[in-house]
Amino acid sequence: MTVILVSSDNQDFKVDKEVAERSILIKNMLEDVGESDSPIPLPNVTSAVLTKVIEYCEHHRNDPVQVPEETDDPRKRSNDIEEWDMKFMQVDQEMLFEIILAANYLDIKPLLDVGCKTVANIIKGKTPEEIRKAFNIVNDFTPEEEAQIKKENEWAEDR
Amino acid sequence: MAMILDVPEEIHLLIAEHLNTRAIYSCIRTCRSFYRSFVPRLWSDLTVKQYKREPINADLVRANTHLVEAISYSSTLTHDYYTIVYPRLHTLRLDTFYEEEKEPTYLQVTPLQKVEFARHHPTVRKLIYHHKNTLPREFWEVVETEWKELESLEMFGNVEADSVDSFWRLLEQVRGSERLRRLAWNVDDVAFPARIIMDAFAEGCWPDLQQLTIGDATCSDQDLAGVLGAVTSRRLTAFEYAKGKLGPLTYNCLRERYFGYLKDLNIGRCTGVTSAMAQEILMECTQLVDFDAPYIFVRDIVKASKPWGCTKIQTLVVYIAKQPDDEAGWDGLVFEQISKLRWLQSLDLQRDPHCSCFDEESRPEEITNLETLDLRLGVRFKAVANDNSGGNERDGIADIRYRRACLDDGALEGSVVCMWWVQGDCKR
Repeated sequence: MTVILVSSDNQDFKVDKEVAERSILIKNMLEDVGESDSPIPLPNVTSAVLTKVIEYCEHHRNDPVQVPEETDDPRKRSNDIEEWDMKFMQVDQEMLFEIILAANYLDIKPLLDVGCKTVANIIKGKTPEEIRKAFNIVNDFTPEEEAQIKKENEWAEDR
Repeated sequence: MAMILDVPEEIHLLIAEHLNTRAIYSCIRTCRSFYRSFVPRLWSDLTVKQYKREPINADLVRANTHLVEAISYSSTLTHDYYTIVYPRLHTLRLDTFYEEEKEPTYLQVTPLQKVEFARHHPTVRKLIYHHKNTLPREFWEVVETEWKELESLEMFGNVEADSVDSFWRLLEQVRGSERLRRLAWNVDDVAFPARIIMDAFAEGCWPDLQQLTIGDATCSDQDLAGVLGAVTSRRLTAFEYAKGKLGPLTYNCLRERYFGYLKDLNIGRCTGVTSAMAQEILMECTQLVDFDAPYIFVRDIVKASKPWGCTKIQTLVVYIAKQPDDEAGWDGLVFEQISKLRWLQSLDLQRDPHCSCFDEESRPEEITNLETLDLRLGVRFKAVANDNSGGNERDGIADIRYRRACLDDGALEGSVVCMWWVQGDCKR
């Protein structure tokens, strides 16, 4: 069985129901409306991003559903990203954050996780200045604020 | 155009979950927006310890208590820190760090001051106790009557000689903790209070308890099996026996009652666990996620009556032992079996089992590790590698090769240490 997803720029995407249901948002929608072949509009997702998201869902269509009770175990919260996902995430930063936003909106937890891990890996080991450079962020602190923040939090430096 | 500052704060918090304190400290100094979204994470899990240097200033902690969800207090903190109230605290770790006994403020806070502290924190769900002195009855009364949300109780380390008896009885005082899911007891020189726990189960206490860690080598097979057999919830999803001998009664109890439930089974440092048991667990425990076992023979894997049923396994720690009359082609079959575990993330084969863990029928002096390893697995896979420079970890192995060395170290006499290293391009 297939469903039709419509991106914000009005492109139709025909995908297997099983694939579309990796998105909890879509899954719940389909459950609510029951049997119906009316297209599902996704006004927050452009066709470029939706193409990527569907590619991800296709690849992971047979993955077991994550059990939420395990997630508070820090041992499981590793930064490992499997090879396919890592390649999949090799996109420019704009697309990376678009994918994260889409995964958040569509409620695709594993994709959101992979996106967040990818960002975390960029941040790791960098100084504040390097982080600003990596993400094109402007330093909007006053020198006084900067000193204050350093003073209040420098205990964290050697943890 | 999407930028990092366009994603909502809740996503910044998800990113922060993958960062350590140091990285978060860098983030909060980047810009105002990052400061706002990352600073809660910096304070959410706080370690306050006094060892060789001053702990975080108490007033500074006081100004941020609303952000703190988990804290570790070392055994050298002064009373000042025990007057702080954390309104959202869910995890309390009372830790002892290395050599703290030499600090002048060691165990300066009295047990009664800890009782007051407990009374002010009814939101705690998880308590990890690792101080050397015993907490008075009043403390556990607070835990039982006021900590309605308590889910996890863990006791570790060693205790003062004169407090052993009261330590032993403390579990009697928390029978009313209805939500308790996890209980861990790994206290040196204090026997596991098997009888008290069996009685509690018999009365229907701890109806949700599903995770049990026991670290007491003196616990008899009969007692251990008795405890496991009596679990009120009738299901055990995690079991760790940290040291000692795992007897046949205990093993049978696990098999008959819990093989269908166990997700986390750690019996890797026990004696009495045979290769056949490890093989049976891998075949029958279909929910298994983490498994730590002492060893398994190549021949048991190759000659298994059916494939391993533990298809969800993510972490496997085991020594794969080869015997002299094993056939040459068997190594390949072993790794064919392992490569079918498609969720495996970590495979640790570097355990060096002491000879005593092997069963009598095998000849430990003739056991060696696999001769060749041609392990071509998915890159999701992380092998724990160990070379001469010490342990090292790398993501995504392509090949693992192996060589072996005999040590003249008396402690390792007759056993063979295997060493692993990762070769090839990880990104292949």
